[in-house]
Amino acid sequence: MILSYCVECGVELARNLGKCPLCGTPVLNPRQPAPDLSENPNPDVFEEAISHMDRGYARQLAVVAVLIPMLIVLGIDLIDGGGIWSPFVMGALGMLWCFFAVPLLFRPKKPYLYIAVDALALCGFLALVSALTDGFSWYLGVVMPLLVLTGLMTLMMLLVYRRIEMRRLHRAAILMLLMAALLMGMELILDLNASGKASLSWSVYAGIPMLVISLMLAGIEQNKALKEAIRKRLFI
Amino acid sequence: MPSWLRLDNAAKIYPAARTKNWMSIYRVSVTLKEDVDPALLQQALDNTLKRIPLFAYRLRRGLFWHYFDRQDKGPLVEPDARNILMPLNLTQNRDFLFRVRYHRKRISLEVFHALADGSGAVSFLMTLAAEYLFLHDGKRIPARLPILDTREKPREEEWEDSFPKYARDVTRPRGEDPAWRLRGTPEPHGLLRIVTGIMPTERLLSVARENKTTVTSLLAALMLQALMNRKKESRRGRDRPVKLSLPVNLRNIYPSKTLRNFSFYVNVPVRMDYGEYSLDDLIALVSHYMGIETMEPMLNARFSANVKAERNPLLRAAPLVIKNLALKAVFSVTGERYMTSTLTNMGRIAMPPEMEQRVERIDLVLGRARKTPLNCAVLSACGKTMVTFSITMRETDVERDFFTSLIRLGVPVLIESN
Repeated sequence: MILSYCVECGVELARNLGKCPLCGTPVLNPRQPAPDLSENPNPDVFEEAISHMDRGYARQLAVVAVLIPMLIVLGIDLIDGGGIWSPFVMGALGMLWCFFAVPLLFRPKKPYLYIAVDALALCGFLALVSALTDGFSWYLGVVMPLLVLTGLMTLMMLLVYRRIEMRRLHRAAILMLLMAALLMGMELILDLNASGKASLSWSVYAGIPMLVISLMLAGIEQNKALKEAIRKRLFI
Repeated sequence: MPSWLRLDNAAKIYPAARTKNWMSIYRVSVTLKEDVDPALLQQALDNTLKRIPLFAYRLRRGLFWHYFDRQDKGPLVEPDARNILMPLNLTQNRDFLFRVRYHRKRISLEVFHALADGSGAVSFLMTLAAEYLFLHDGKRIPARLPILDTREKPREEEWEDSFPKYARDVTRPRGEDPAWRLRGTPEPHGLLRIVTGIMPTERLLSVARENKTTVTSLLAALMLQALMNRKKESRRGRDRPVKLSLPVNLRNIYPSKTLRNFSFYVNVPVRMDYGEYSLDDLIALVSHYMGIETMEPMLNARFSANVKAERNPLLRAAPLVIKNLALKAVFSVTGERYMTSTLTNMGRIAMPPEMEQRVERIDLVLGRARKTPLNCAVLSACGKTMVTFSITMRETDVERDFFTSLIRLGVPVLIESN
């Protein structure tokens, strides 16, 4: 009969153990060089675990959670006098659902889809509002171009931030330039809608400092000694 | 046996607290001296279910409560797996609330806590093992509790809900201090690590007597000490007491013969911020605290509060969906808030000598808790006491501290692990 004890804990160890389960010390018994696996009291088969969260069910639940207030609102509005304000609430609920339920339920690995869905949801909701109120003039002239521009630029910034390999300060510089471009685009859209003429004014004032900053950032990235000196003084 | 049953008072929380990946489940195993024959085991299981039909129920949803629905056929025995105590799949497992598994010489019973407590499960397993041995060599094992005679008819007292039967009107407020929470690095893939220490019962008893205490109080004091040593290294929750939950078998107090849930618990608190405690202090603390809390009036007033809560008309009239959500929320907030860990001692399982010579050992293993990463179960049989830790964290200091303290007290310990 071979007995093995843990030299650290003083406990006797079952013969199938190669190390002490309490402290991890390997078993060194010259009479029994390797653990006796035939003594293993447990089977080798593993039972398969039940899969984790049931997403299908969660999706159904999320749909129901939005549909119920929608129906209630519609019902109240119809009783109250015929579907005047309920479309606004229902549209807003649908938009909020896109904002919160989509990322939670579908867990997009990359956020591009999520941003596109959000921009579309916002476009859709505002289109609904304009259809229900004064018509599409302000929507087509200002809102939609602004939303599309913002959505596209956000996607582009995200792409730069996540996908394209470059140094950190270069990346910051490019993001800054994209931001300046976004501001200029916004001003163009607003001007074209208000006066029919395209003239850049405030966005230039904002854009010039941004351009300067991005040039500075790019320059700092080039100059290693300068970068090191700044890092030395500014570390948190 | 009625065609359907209400869940007992303690069971009501378990179906609601269940999630996709977790349920309150535990295992009792008996290891024989020779390999188990699955066909005979199946036959023994069918016979045992005729004597203890309580286990042949499935869980169903009513409009207001879950209920147990009687089934005529029992489940099939299945081969054991390495990762034990996975949640039962109540829809695929032919809807049974337990399963019987075999591996080499070992017969294991895994039970959903809504069905029965450890005492009922031990009774079922021992009856099953005795029936198996009878089928194997034709000699009947004398039926003495926990073994039931499979030739007899089931008795009504075996499936009664004893809580309302013994509860009284006066209740005790349930307020308690929240406990310090044990935390650790989770094991990968939610693995349940099982570490068993096997020690001679006689030696353990004499060490307990030397310290003028019982085995349960001695082990509880050692466990508290190990938890307290771990707390010293943690910065979280300095002012919170370390609390060890000790289940109490109410059948020792009331003449109940039920096989369903009829146990309660006492959470023993230790305030470490008040100062240092020696092992003797801890032993005294545990035995005095338990001495007061396990008096019949003290326990009764506590479980009567649960019975009273169950009778609340507002709760009763709520549809099951709402009730489930509410109970789930209550359980996830308060279920394990008042204890740092659990140590359950089933005590010594008495067996007739005809059976004792055919059995090598009996084990009790707790399933993973919802949050607590370490729990402990103790059971004595065949002259051996098995102390089994069920752990979901990587750190080993609590169980190491516990077993090395036993060795220093002069109890030899043999360690096994999965």
